[in-house]
Amino acid sequence: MNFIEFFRLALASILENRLRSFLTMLGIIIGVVSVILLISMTTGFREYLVRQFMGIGTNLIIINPGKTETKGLGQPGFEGVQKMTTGDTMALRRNAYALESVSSITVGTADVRYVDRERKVMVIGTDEAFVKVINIGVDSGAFFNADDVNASRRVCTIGYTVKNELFGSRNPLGEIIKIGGAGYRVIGIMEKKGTFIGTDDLDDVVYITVSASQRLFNTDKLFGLRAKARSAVMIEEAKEQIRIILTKRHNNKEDFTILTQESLLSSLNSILKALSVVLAGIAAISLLVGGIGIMNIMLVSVRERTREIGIRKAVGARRADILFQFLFESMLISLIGGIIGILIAFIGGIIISQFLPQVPPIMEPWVIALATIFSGSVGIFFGVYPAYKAAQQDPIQALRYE
Amino acid sequence: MFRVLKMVKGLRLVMKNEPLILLEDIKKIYGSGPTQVNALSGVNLKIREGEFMAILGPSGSGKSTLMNIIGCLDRPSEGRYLLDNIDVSGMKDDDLASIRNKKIGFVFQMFNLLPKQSALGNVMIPLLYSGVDARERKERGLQILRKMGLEGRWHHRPNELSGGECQRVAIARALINRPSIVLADEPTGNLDTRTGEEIILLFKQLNKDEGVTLIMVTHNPEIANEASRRIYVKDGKIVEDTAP
Repeated sequence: MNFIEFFRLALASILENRLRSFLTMLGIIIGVVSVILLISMTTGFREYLVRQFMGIGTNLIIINPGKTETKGLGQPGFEGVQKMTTGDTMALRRNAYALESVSSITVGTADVRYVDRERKVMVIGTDEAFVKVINIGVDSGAFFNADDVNASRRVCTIGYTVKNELFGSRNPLGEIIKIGGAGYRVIGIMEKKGTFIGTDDLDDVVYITVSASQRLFNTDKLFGLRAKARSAVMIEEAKEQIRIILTKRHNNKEDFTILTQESLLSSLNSILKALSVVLAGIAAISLLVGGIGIMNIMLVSVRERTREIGIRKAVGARRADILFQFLFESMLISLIGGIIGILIAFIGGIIISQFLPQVPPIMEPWVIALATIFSGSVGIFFGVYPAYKAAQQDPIQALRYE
Repeated sequence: MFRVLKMVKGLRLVMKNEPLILLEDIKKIYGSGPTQVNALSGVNLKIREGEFMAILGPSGSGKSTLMNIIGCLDRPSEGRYLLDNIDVSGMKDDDLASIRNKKIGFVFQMFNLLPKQSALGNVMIPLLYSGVDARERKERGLQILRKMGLEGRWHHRPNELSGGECQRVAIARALINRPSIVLADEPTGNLDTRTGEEIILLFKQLNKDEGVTLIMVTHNPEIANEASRRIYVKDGKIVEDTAP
């Protein structure tokens, strides 16, 4: 007998017991659907994170005060962390030639008021280099320039949400808004950025000059620096230059942390990978349960068909013939279940992406291949024992079986 | 086809004049120690090509065991069994399966047809295990069903056929691979008298016209009388043989 004959025999038997075969497949279907969807959803989420992180800017380097990563270099400081100032920004601009631009950042919240409307928003103090470092553009008007920064002019640009909330449909350009009680002229509106990882509204922001913000919050320290390397290959070099220059300025102490998008992503990636393995593992348990269901049904089927086995053996079926007959059946049940599962997962993925357009599940081909191979092997693995039992039947006993 | 086969078989018979089946001191022992049962205790038997033989005997006499051994479903504990000059007494299960496939056709009391297969599907099963391709299987299946007078019934399942028709399907299945012998175990046991007679008539015809060697186990002396040779089995031994 060749494989096509075994395949036909198995298919006929599956179609003969449609309901039973379908119920047996259900275990496999559920397992395959959950494995594929969970993996695709974590993949989709990872892609989303990559997009978000890469969307901030290209070749971005984040410098924050305080040491969160230790490298064994330098002794741990007993004194407090030295504050980061605009002096650091200047030093980097002068000396770190691997950097294209450097920008100071302060962050705070303040009440922003226009006539009778008031709103608590995030106030970012920065300088003219900000729009070069961060991937953000001005929708209308202009971002403040070096003159504005140096002269600490009370000008601001506002995010999309702030514009909508305070001005509605009116044109805010040239209007005066009050930030923490002081008046600022609106000179620009930033383009819409949406949310970051589904939490912060990046448009609910007001940008003012760093000097104005230091006055507003009454401090001279910065939240951090944002820099842009000249090219992707210069990122490592830029990091080293930043480290040397800032360490020298900070009494030879490395009391700051340099992060890149890649380093942030790689740590997130490893967390997500672990998560997807755990989730897929849980889903795989349902495949295992499905496999046990197949084994159970096949054992029942072998018993039910004892007489058939006897007849087939009497007319010349060898052990392998009987073995493959039953093995093909269990394999086909789980393979069909696997294919139905893939189709349902595919439809499920489309439905999920309708509800979560930000984070659409991404079904990679290897996941589908894995699901197919996995479901097929579940059928073989759990089909071997019943098939072996069938093949071992003694024809005389089997023929007598009622 | 059958005629050619018959000629070939006849030629061989003339040339060799050897028995188709030769049993030499066959013993079959089940269990051991105090629970030991001697189902067969020294059977010697020669069956020639073209014979129509009936095996008679009370239940528990060992005739079923003898039948199983002749049919290569079982192996003797002791003794030698030559089928078509091949020693099959020590063969492995899979080799015996091949022997059954090619040389032996079975007809059972309960018909033993697969209930979910059509008459044609049932008849074709032995060919499946001898590697005959699907087209030839169907051709030969339809041909043999026609011969059995089941021309228009090939697509019916056993539950749509009468007892007599079922037994004809079973006989067709037994004959499809042109076996050396056909073994029938109480072939009329599940049929009414008239249908039973028809089946016996069919057997006689096959034996006479096609030269099919037939061995039939039966309780019924009347049916046994239709055979050309009768052996009586009692307590694991052949106690009477009508062979000339």
